[in-house]
Amino acid sequence: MKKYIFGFILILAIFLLQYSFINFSGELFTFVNPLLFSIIFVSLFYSAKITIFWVIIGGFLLDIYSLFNFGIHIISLMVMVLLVHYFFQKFITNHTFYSFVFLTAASTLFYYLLLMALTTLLYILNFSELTWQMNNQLTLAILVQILINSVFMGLIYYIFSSFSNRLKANFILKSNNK
Amino acid sequence: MAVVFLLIFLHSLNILSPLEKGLSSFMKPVQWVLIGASRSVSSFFERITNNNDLFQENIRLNEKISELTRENSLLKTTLKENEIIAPQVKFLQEKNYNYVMARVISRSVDPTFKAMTINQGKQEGVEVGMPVVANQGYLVGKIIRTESNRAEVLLLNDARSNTSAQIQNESASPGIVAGEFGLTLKMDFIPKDDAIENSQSVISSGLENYIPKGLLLGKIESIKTKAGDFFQTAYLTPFLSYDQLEVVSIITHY
Repeated sequence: MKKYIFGFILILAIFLLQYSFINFSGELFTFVNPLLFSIIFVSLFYSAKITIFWVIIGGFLLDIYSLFNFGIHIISLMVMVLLVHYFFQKFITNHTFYSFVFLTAASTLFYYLLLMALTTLLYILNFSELTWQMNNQLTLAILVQILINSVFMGLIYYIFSSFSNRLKANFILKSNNK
Repeated sequence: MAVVFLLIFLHSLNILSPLEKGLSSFMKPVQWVLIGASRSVSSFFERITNNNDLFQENIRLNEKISELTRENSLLKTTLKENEIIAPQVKFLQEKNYNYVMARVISRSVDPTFKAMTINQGKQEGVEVGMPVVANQGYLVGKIIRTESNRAEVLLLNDARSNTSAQIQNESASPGIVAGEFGLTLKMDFIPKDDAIENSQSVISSGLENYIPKGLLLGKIESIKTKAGDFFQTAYLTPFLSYDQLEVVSIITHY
């Protein structure tokens, strides 16, 4: 229970930090999305239960303030973490630096593609009067965000791998210990 | 996934409304404090990009100033707010408009929008379509969504924003002002035969519901005319930076 209460406070703090502080701190900072990054981080490093909790609380907060239909952000985040989980289980057998960086880049891209697809679909089906509009500035912002998220995940991977056994391949460690 | 759809279902039935209201009420004061702090960070980086020497000098001076003003920081904040609010109030009272003052509490969570959230909503009479002004009557956007205790403002520089406007020239040339790539303002559908020049001001035409005539939108920076077109296009510079807005007013009746 403590884990979830702490998680809730942390999500709220990250949300407030992003939308009432970082986004007002100048153009440079518009390329940073700590809430999305933290959800990707949780999905890669923690259990499915904790990830779903983060997705629901984070997505709920985003949807309260979003101009799009309620649910767009929660669904995009949920599908994103399901895709990450699928890739993680099916294709990535080794928890290497490159696999984490790749999954982070893919997750960020998935999230924005899902947002775009859902908002466009709702607009076409007349459920929403607003649609996603792409422009050069936004494309650049998403690409830079993919880069920043990947670099940060790389750094966190190194920090985590030096302090925790979570990322080390168990079977190799066991055979070395024999 | 079932939880997600349950949440959407409960939201559509307004069952989640008290929770949503409670959360946003709880976050409002924190958001306002954070925005205030972000201004310092923003100006800090602006100084870096402007001039490094001046920046160093500014740091020394700012340290001195902050030492001297520590005791009366509260008074200083109040004075700063008054500086922002005073010209707004003066303009709105001179024009005899009914208005509601609001603080900007966050940016849009959707990166595709140039929008912001303000801390006044339906409870204070704010409705969709109402104009949002800053300083001496500069139109900055329109209310696009309202909740009981907050509202979303679509800024003029958003590509989805359309405002009926006219140029302050002899023929009072009409046109539609929209955002261009979220960066600048573009005034389209200006009759080709009308004589327009750079630096002329553009104001609201008063043809829209809620928006009175004469609110300033921007100044003409460049003009584009294509052979064979019936209209000409003007690119405008807004009178103020939308990124620096702290306190705005919503004109509720005029």
